[in-house]
Order: sequence, then structure tokens, then C-alpha cells
Amino acid sequence: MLFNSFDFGLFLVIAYCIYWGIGVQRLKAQNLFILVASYFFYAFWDWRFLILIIASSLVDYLAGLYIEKSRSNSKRKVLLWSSILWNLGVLFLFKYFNFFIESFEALFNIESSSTYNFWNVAIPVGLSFYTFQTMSYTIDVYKKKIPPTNNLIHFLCFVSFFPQLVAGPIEKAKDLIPQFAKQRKFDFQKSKEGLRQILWGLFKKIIVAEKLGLAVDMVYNQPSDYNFITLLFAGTLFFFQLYCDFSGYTDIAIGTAKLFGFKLSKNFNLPYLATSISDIWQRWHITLTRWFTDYCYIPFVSSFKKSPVVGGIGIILTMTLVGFWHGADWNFLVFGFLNGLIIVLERISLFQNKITLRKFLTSTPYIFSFIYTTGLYTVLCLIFRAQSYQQLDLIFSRIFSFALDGAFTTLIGWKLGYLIFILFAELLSKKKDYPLQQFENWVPKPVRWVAYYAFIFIIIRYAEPKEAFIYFQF
Amino acid sequence: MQRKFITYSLLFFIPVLVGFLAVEWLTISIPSHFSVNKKYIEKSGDSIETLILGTSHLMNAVNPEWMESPTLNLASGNQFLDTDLKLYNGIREKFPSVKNVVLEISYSHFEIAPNGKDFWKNSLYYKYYDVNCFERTAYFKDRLVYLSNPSFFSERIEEYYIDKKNIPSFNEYGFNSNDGYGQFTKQNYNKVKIDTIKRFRINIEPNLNLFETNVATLFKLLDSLKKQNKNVVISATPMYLTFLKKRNPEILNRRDSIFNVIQKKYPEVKFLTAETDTIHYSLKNFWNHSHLNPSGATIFTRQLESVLQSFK
Repeated sequence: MLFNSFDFGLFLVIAYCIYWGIGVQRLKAQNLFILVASYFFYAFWDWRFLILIIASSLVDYLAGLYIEKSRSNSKRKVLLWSSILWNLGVLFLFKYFNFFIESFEALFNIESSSTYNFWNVAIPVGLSFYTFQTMSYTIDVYKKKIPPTNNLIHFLCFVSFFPQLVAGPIEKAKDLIPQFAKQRKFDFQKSKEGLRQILWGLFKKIIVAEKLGLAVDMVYNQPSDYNFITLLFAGTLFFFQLYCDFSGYTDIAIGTAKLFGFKLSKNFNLPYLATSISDIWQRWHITLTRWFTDYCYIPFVSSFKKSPVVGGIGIILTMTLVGFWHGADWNFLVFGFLNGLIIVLERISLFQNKITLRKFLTSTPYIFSFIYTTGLYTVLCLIFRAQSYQQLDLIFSRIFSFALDGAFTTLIGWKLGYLIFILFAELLSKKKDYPLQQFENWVPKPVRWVAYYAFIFIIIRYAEPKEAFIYFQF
Repeated sequence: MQRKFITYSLLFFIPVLVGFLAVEWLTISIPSHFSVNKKYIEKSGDSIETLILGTSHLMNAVNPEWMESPTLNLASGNQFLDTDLKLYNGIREKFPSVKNVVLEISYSHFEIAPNGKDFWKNSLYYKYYDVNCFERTAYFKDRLVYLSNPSFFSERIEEYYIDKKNIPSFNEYGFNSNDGYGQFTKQNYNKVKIDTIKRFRINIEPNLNLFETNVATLFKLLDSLKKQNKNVVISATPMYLTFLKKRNPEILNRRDSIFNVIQKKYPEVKFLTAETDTIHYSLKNFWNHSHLNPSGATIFTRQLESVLQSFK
């Protein structure tokens, strides 16, 4: 059930009415309903995926409880590693198994065998997101950062909460589980904000991301038809497509959670304003960066004596894992590795330890850091998007040989105006979570309603057949 | 508070709903290949002897009016083999007299992604042909035409009701004789200008995984037709020279190798491969690089008719 589908709209209306109809006094019933609704939402893709999410939830729920009860350190460690192995095992089987087999076959020149490639199943939607969420819970319980929850329903809801189940934000247990334990009152203002944020997210996804997607696909499906300027331009558009697609999804997720009285974490902070690649990762998919920092980078560097070399290796390893988290393919590994390498280079002190590239970029006029960051990230995004090595080779060879044969096109013409509108609106409302927040404070009601109707009209008028969100595949 | 929110929401969304219903009504009121086919099926379904499946190449290339036996052209834009299979299986019982089935295997037919269960035209098959291609239980929303592709139908509404251009002119068999005067007409059929058009739709990216999937689907369809003793014609419509030049030989060879397999495995299947036919077709018979216009359709329909005659 895609957020940009009629099915989801209908589901949301029914779920909303039942949820608040249950009454705020009956918290247990409300939570149970959230669980049933979340499982229904998830089963809409494939009911068999439910078995996996329930199994994963139970493993971590029990692991948390037994870790807390256990007095022996070694037993606690065994329990922690059992949970981690289970989670990584599930991820490996469903997401990475075929990649490793294929790479192994290619490395040793073994003829492809269908016996090995038996695991020919679709990756369960949202697997990487909820697995990371449950894993962080067990690790936090082990490190005594949080107490385990005794309430199974709360835990199952934490893993499967439908607004953020399939593509985040990746929530920490300490932030989300207490919200299931607290009575939630209906809040008129929050509901309005929720609907507005959903509207904004839909606009970003349907009007901007999908239109940019059509143009980008057109160019990169036949890169030999286009000159290097168009290829670079399409690469930049892909960066904005990815941003509008994922941040649009996140806005819908956060808005939906608001309708049900929940608060989810911020996942984007104007990444196109980043002054360096290091900065981009503080602004892009923030909850994922936070997860890898807390559970990979910090444990890695703290297990060695503090040194810049260890820090650098830690960054490269962590970023390579971030890349690999996105998908089981070499391009994602290379994407992550290069991001890590650039971040390390940006942090190396130059001119007798006086300045780093990162600091230099922050102090230069914004236009320079913008060109540096957007240019570099566009190239990295091309690696991210590549469907094959041959395709990437062709694109890069045309870009870096400044190929002028082939067509130049502005790709989406006047529709580019929608992207400019989005960017301006976000820039003018930097301090807000999204541009329409507290809309009533500065716009009178009739104008507001006209604006809402205009948004709805544009969304409906220009919507393409429903398109999945890019991050759903991860 | 809750009541206030619900009241406000209703007040806000009722006009949206009314507007949407109006747009849906405007959409279904525009004559379409599907709605005309529906009427034709209701009127003559029992007597139909030939079914045409495939993409817009065949939809534009066969005018049932000029066929000797009653023919229904179910081909439609971007309708690939997986949908052909689902559509045929879902609709065949409505046509007890069908003897011949015409399939399309164009140059890159095997290396294009199948439509899948989320193909937007599934709503049209469901609404007009009563065939569920969604691979799930369908419900009322699945019959809503405008919602299946708002951007596409908004343009049709603007063209039909506001600009009053590209008004379709369907005969009673669903063939649009006003379709096809587009891209090449814009260039006044000037060969030099047409030959210099750099971009047009053609797939040149080989994809072995898709190839395997699509070939398997085709064989499934052919097996099913063989069991039902249907005469099968596999066709490839003519393409203009610019298109022919741009084809990827790897994709082409793989497609042709499957033609050889079919000839051995299903000797009763006949072929109408007019893809490179430059004798019968000239520039004036195309409306763009890969589609025939109605004058080209006259020639292709005649060729198809003679292949079908050979079954007798």
C-alpha cells in the first residue's frame, strides 16, 4: 500500500476514524488497533512478510527481557549476539545472499548455478528499516541505556508502526516506545498539521519527484543520445528527485503519525544547503546516519586507541556499510566507500594543521561550497543510480570527455518551476519542520483553503500512474 | 474538538469528491478504443473469430473493418506479453467462436519490463472488458478510469473538451482512423528532417533477465493456445528506416533466435514479420518511427488477412 495511492487514503480515513472512535481512555485498545492496522498495512504487500516481522519482533522482545534478567555478563553477551546474528542473518538471507553467491561465482569464474541461487524471493518491504530498529533496541538494553519493555503490544507496535514501517524514519526505542505507553489526546492543531504535512509530502513526491524521475529515466536509459551537459543536468535532477521522493515520503510518514498523536524524528534538514559531503550526511537521512554513528562508528573507534587513522578507517568502514545498507550491489558499496573517503579527505588538516577542507568550505562564499558539494554528490548519485557497470562507464566517459554530440534538452521544461517553488518555500521556512507549518498564523482562512485546493488540484491533475518510493526497495 | 475536526474535514473534502466525480464522468464520456470495443463485444462477441493482442504497434496496424472474418483488436499501447496472457485468459470465454489469435513480438519485445500487476491499464481492462489483471481481489476503486492515470486523462480531457483537437474517430470495431497524423506529419513527411530526428522511443538496453521472463511468458501463452487448438500468428509490424538502423543487434539476434525455436517447437504457428519490409511500406505509411498510420494499416491488415487465409 503506497502512501501515494487511493488504497492508503481509504485505509487512513478508516483507521483514523476507528482509532479516535475507540476513545482516549482505552489506551490498550488503541494500541492493539494500531498493531492490527499496521499488520494489515504490511500484509497488503504480501501477507507472508508478516511471519518474518512477527518472528523478528519476538526474538528481540525476548532477547531484551532475558538480557535484563541475566546477571552473568557472558550470558548477556550471548543473548545480544544471538539477537544480532538473527537480525543480520535475516537481512543476509533476504537481501544479500544472491549478491554474495554471484560475486563468489564471478570471482572464481564459476558457472552460474541455479542450485545456489535458490533464494529467489522478493526482499520484504522495509526489511532494512525495521531490522535496524529492533537491533538498536536490543543493543540499547544490553548497554543499559534503556530498560526493556514488558509490554509485548508496545514492542510489536514499535517495530511495525505503519507510518514509519517501510521507509523510516528509523526510530530509537527510547523515543517511540514511551509514546505507546502514554495516553494520547486528540489534538485539533496536531491533526491539522498532520494533514498539511501529508499534503506537502504528496506534492513533493507526486509533482516534483515523479516528474523529475521521468526526465532522468529518459536520459539515463539512452545516455548515448545526450551531450555531457544534459547528462550532468540529469544527474543533478536525480539528486533532487531522490531528495523529493524520500523527504516527501518522510513528510507523509510524520504527518500520518501526527494524526494518530505520535511524533517521529526529523529525517532531512535541507541537504542541498550542505557545504561539504560531511555536512550532507548530517542533513540527509539523519536517522540512518545517527544509527550507523551510534552502533558502528563509535563502537569501532572506541575499541582502539584514539587516533586520526582509526577515526579515518572508522569513517570509511561505516560509510561503506551505509552504502551497502542501500542495496546488495557493487555500486552501493562503491558509493558508500567514496563518500567515506571524501569525508576523511575533508577532515585532513592542511597547511601545518591550520585548516581542513571542511572548515575552508564553510568559510568560503556559499556558491563555492554549493558547487563543490552538489557537483561531487551528483557524481556519487550517478554511481548510486547506475544499473550496470557498462551504463556507468558510458555515462562517465561521455561526461568526462565533454561529449557534445547528442541532444541537449531542458528535460522537463516549465515543470522545473515546481522544484524551484519547493526549494524556495523550504528556504524561506528554514526553521520550520515543513513550509506549511503553522500556516494559519500568517495566512487568512479563505486564502489557506484556496491554497490547499490548488495543491490538491495540481497533485491530481499531474499525477502519473502510482509510482513506488525509491527508498521502499531498501 | 474531534467533531469540529471531522466537520471541517468533511466541508473541505466534499468539493474535492464532487470535483473528482465530475472529472471521472468527463473521462469516461470521451470515446476510446476500450469503450468502443466494449460495445462491439456486447454486440458481436459470439461471432468473433480473430483476436489481436499486443501493443500500440498492432493496435495501429490492424483495422478489423477490413478483415473478412469478425475480428476484435485488443492490442493497446504498452500492453506486453504478461498482460496479453492475463487478458486472453480472462476474456476468452466470451468468444466461443475464436479460431485465430494474433500476437506481437516486436524487435525488443522480450527485453522490455513486463507490465506487472500494477499496470495502470488494468483499471481499463477491469472496467471495459471485466477482466481482472491486478492479480488480487479488485474493488470499486479499480474501476475508476481517471484515477488510473490522472496525468494522461487530464491531457485527454483538455484535448477533447477544451482544445477540441486530436478528436478520435473510431469505427464500430475500435479502430481510430484519426489516429496517426502526428510526429511525421509535423515534419510534413520531409525525409531529410525525419532522418535527423535524434530522439525517439526505442529500447537499446539488453536485459537477459527480462528476456528469460518474457520468453517464458510467451511459451506459456503458446502452450495454452496450442491446447485450445487455436491458429496462432506471430507478427512484427513495419518500422521506419531510422528505427531499423538504431536497433541493437544483440537484442535483435536474441529475438530472432526465439523465432527459430518457435518454428521448431510449434510448427503450426505462422509468422508475419513485416518489420524490415521496405517494399510494401514507404515513409507516408508511418506516423512515427515505429507506428503505422491508417494508410499503412490498410496494407498490414491485408497482409494479415492473407496469412489467416492460409490456415483454411
